[in-house]
Amino acid sequence: MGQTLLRVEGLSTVFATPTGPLTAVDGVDLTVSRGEVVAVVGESGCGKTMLALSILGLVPPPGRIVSGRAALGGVDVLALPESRRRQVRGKRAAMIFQEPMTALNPVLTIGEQVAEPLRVHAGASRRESLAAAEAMLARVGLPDPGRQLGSYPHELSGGQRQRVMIAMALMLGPELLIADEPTTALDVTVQGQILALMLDLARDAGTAILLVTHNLGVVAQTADRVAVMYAGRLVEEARVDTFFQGPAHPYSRGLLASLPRLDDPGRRLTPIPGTVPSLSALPTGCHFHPRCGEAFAPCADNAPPLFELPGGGQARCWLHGA
Amino acid sequence: MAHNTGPVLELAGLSRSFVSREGVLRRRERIVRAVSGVDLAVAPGETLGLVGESGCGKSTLARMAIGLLPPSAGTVRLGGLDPWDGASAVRKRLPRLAQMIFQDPYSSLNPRLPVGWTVAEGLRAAGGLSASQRRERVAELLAQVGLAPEHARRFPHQFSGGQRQRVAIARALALAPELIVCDEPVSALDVSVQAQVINLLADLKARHGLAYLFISHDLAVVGHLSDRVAVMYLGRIVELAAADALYARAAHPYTKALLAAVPGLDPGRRRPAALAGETPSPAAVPSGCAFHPRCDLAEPRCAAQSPALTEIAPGHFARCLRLI
Ligand SMILES: Nc1ncnc2c1ncn2[C@@H]1O[C@H](COP(=O)(O)OP(=O)(O)OP(=O)(O)O)[C@@H](O)[C@H]1O
Ligand SMILES: Nc1ncnc2c1ncn2[C@@H]1O[C@H](COP(=O)(O)OP(=O)(O)O)[C@@H](O)[C@H]1O
Ligand code: SF4
Ligand code: SF4
Ligand SMILES: [Mg+2]
Ligand SMILES: [Mg+2]
Repeated sequence: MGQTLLRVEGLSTVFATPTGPLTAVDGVDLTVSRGEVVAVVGESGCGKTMLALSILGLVPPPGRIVSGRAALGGVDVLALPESRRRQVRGKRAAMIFQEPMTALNPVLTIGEQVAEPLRVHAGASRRESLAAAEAMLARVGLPDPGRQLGSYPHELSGGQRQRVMIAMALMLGPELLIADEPTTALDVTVQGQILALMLDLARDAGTAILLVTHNLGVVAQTADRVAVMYAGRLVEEARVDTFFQGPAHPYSRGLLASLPRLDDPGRRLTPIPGTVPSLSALPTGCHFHPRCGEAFAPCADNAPPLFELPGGGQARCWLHGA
Repeated sequence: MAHNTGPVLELAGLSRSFVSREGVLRRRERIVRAVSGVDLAVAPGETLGLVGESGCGKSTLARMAIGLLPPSAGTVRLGGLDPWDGASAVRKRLPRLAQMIFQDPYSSLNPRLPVGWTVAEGLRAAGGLSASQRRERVAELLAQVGLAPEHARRFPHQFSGGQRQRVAIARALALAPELIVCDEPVSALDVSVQAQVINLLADLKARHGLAYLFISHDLAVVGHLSDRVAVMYLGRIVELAAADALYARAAHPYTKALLAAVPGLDPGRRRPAALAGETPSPAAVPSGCAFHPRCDLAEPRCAAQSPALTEIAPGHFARCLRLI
C-alpha cells in the first residue's frame, strides 16, 4: 500500500460517569494508507463509534479525549483549534453514520444538504452548488436526481438516504471517509448495493475508507486490512487475507467460530462463553481472560501489549509474546 | 409429547391488511397488504424457518400464528383449534400449545417485576401448583436456559441482552408448549452471545421435541436451525423447501438474489451486488409476479400473470412463472 494518510497513536477517550471514569477507547494505535480500506470490527459497546468520533475530534460530552494523536496527512487533527478542525472535517475527511435519518436535517431539502459543503468550504454559488449536488446524486444512483433535490429526508427509503449521505460525504473529494456501520440498518440486498457504491466511488477518487462494522462478512468483502476491538482496546490488526485464513487472537478466532455460515448450516456453533464485560467493570490483565479457552499463567494479572506477528499484523495476546 | 398427529400449526389462505393514513393531513388512506394468502404447516417437533427482508410481513404472520392478531382472511389452527374460537376450554388450552419469543427481550419483560415472577406468569394463570412448587419449577426452567436459581430475584435491567433472551425463553417453556414462535430472537444479540442462544434453542428442541416457527432476516441463522425454510417477499411465500435443498438448489430468482447478497467470509471471492432496486411498499404491490420489477429473468407475462406457489420437485415449492 501507499503512503500513510491517517496515523492514530495512543488515542484514549474517557467518559465521566456517576460510578467513575469509563475508558471507551483505550490507547488505540492505527494507520490507514492513502486509498486503503481498513475495517474496524467488534461487538456492541467495544468502542468502535467512539474511536471513529475521536479521530475527528467529535466526541460528545461527557466524553473527553485524554491522550493521543490522530494525524491526517501529518497534521494532528486533535491539536488544531476547533475552527481549523471543522475545515479538516469539511474538506479532507468526511463521516457517514449508521442511521442516516438522525444525521440528515429533517427540515432541509436533500439538494440544500448535499450542496452545503460546496458553499461553505469552497465558496460556490447556490446555482453552482445545486448543479454539482444533482450530478453527485446521479452518481450515487438516486433515481430522478433533479426532482429529488427538492425532497425531504423522510420521503426517501433507508437505502436512498444512505446514498444521499454518501453523496454529501464525497462532495468535496475527501482523502479519508469514515463510515460507521453504514449498512447495518439496511436489508441485505440493499447493503450489497451501498457497499459496492461506496467502494467504487472511493476507488475512483483515491479516497481511503475507515469502515466500522460488526459484520465479519462485510469485512471480508470490502476491506484490505482489519482491526479487531475488544473492550476499548485494539486486540488484533491484520491483512484480511491472512486474518480469514486463521486469526491470531483467541477472541478473533472465537468470533469466527460463533458465526452461523451459509456453506455449513448443520455445524454446531462454538460460542465464546460468557458475555462482553461492561467497561465499568473490566477484568484485570488481559480483558478477555475470563472468556478465553487458552488463558494461561500471565493472563489474569498482566495486560498484554500488541505483539508483532511473523507474517505481518499484530495481536494483543501473550500467546504471541516472544 | 405430541397429543395430536396433525400439524401443531396450520395456516390456510392467511391474509392481513392494514389501513395506513398518509399525507400531511393523514387523509390519504392506503391499504397495506402485509400478508397475502399464506398456506403453511408446522409438524410436531419440526422447525420451520421463515426468512425475508424488513417489512415483508414476518412479524404480522407470527402474531396471527399465535393468536395475537386476527387475520383479515384465512384461518389459523393451533393443534387443530381456532385461537379466535372464544370458548373458554380453547383459551385455556392455547398457552400449552404455543408461546412466543420476541426480538427485543427488554420490551417483552416487565421492568418492574423480578424475572422469576415473569417466568412463573403462565404457571400462575394455569393454576394447579402451590407457591413452593412454582418456585421449584422456575428454578428448573432457569437451569434449562443456563441461568441460576438466584437470578429469579433479579430485575430485567440487571441482565445482559443474551441473559434477558434466556429469561424470555424460560418463560416460553414454562407450560411445556408444543410450539414456540420465535420472531427474530437473536437479531439484537452480539455474535458471540447469538451463538449461545442458537445452541440453546437447538438443545431445547432436541430435549423436549419442541416445534419452532423460527423467523429471521438472517439466512445463515435460519439455515442453522431449520428443517424447512419458507422465503417471503411482499407478504407472500415465494419459495418453500427442506433447508438443505433450499440452500443448495434455490429455485426462485428472489431466493437466489438473497443468498447471493449475504457477504461471505472469503476475501478471495468478492461478489458484486446481487440485486438492483429496493423492495416496493406493501401498499403498492406490483401487478402479476410482485418481484417482476426487480427480476433479471422477468418476461412480459410476469407483469400480468400472478404465479401460484407450485411444487417443482418433491417437497420443493416456488412461485415463479418460469419454473412452472
Ligand atoms: N455519553 C456516554 N456516557 C457514558 N458512556 C458512554 C457514552 N457514550 C458511549 N459510552 C460508552 O462507551 C463505550 C463505547 O461506545 P461505542 O458507541 O463506541 O460502542 P460501539 O462499539 O460503537 O458499539 P455499537 O456496535 O453498539 O455501535 C460503550 O461502553 C458505551 O456505553
Ligand atoms: N399495525 C399496523 N398498521 C399499519 N401497518 C402495519 C401494521 N403492522 C405492520 N404493518 C405493515 O405491514 C408490513 C409488514 O410488517 P411486518 O410484519 O412487521 O414485517 P417484518 O416483520 O417482516 O419486518 C409493513 O409494511 C408494516 O409497515
Ligand atoms: S493474553 Fe491470555 S487470556 Fe488474553 S487472549 Fe491471549 S491467551 Fe487469552
Ligand atoms: S414470475 Fe417472472 S418476474 Fe416473477 S420471479 Fe419468475 S421470472 Fe421473475
Ligand atoms: Mg457504534
Ligand atoms: Mg419483524
